[in-house]
Amino acid sequence: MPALTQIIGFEKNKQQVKQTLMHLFEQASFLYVEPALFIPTATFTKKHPSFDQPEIIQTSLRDGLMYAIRPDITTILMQQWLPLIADQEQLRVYYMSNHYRQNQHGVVLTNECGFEVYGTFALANQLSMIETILNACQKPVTLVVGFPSILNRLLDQGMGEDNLNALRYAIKTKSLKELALNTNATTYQTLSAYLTVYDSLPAIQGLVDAATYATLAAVQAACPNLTIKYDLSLLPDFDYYSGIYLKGYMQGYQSPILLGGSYDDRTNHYGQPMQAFGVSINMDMLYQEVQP
Amino acid sequence: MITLAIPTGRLGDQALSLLKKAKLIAEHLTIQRQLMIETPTLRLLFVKPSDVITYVVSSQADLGIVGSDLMLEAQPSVFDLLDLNIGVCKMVVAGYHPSSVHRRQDTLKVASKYPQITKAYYQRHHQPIQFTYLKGSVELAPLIALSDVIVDITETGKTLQDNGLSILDTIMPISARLIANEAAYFLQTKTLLAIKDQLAKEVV
Repeated sequence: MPALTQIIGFEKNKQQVKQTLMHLFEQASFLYVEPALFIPTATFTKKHPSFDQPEIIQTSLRDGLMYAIRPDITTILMQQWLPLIADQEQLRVYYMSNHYRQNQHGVVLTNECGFEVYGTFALANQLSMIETILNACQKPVTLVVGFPSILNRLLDQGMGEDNLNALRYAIKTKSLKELALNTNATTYQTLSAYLTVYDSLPAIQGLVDAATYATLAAVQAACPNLTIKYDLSLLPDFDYYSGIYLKGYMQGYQSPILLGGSYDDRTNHYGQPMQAFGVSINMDMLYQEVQP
Repeated sequence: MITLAIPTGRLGDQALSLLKKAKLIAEHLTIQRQLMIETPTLRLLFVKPSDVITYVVSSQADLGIVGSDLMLEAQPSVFDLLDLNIGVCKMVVAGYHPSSVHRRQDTLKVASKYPQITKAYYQRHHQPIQFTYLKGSVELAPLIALSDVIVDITETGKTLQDNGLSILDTIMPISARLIANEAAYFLQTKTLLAIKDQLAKEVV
């Protein structure tokens, strides 16, 4: 059992990390927001048909409708803020909050801090913010960069019509065997190249178009102090990511410290098309790894 | 040091032979009842076959060896690096009467220890089912009319035959896979791929 002084020391450290982060966001003109706790379950599942529904924690409120308890912060913030943004406006928000899911063992509460940017903005600035936060960790972070829309587009074009779930499983697990079992030779050849993790950007040149390559190059340029790997087979749980998708990993942890990316295409569902980017950072990991 | 979770039992013995052939562990290494062994290259954990995925997902093991039936059933967030071509069998639909039709208009009673694989299979075939989850001795279910058919793995089909059951359809081939923890794979890509490549050379 840890000594009381250790516990107090850790709690003090937590407060300092939190305050340092808030200071960082406020200096960069981010507005603190509290994501709404409830979203009608029907609205959420309609927007995320592929999301694993048993993971949603639900309750009924006075109006008799079923509500999901904050299953995803980005969706909640889009719902809350996007309809309020006027043309040409930019909004930067940050939060320190929890999302709630359930698995076979019970409720899983994840303590997150994150930021979302809507409107016209330079992606490089947001990536630099990420690098600043991740560089504060004692252990090095490997940033894995993907572009889910490439494979989603290939799958939508009929490559996996007959066996879409099996193909998605093969891609998510990078299983060449399952890919071979569920596709023909031509599709196998096309898709298998996307299952490799690449250490350098030039290695993926033949797999992406010029615009995607430029976006990926921008990540590298904006985060010179992070180890970057490229994985075009990253398929996130939420299908709103239409541009880059990021996952940050650190030695000793089973889940990523950072998750997020660009979701410009999804903003249409909330009123108007605009640029959108956001990431969430696991606060419990940050508390363990950052000495303010 | 890379940690590898190995299933106990017959599949584990086959996995150890493969590791020895690939020179990832010493030829003379004998395992009695130890649950953990450290070799110069690998830390080996000996765990129940159904627990391998848990050890890998929770980062207690970087790599694991597990049947693809358990992978397809659990669909965990791990990477399937290599088909080891050991523990080869197939997932089948089997029925008591050789003539029983397992796809029909009315609800079919199906028993299995693989609920996800079963439901996905019958959903693909638009066949409504009434599912019964069993943990073992699945072959008994059609004999006592608990189910019309079963979904299970079989290597030779002998146990099915001994109980008067016939294979009505093959759902998929099954074999043992080398799996990797997601974070470990991204953080130690070269090391894990080197182990995979060494094993791949010995896979028949």
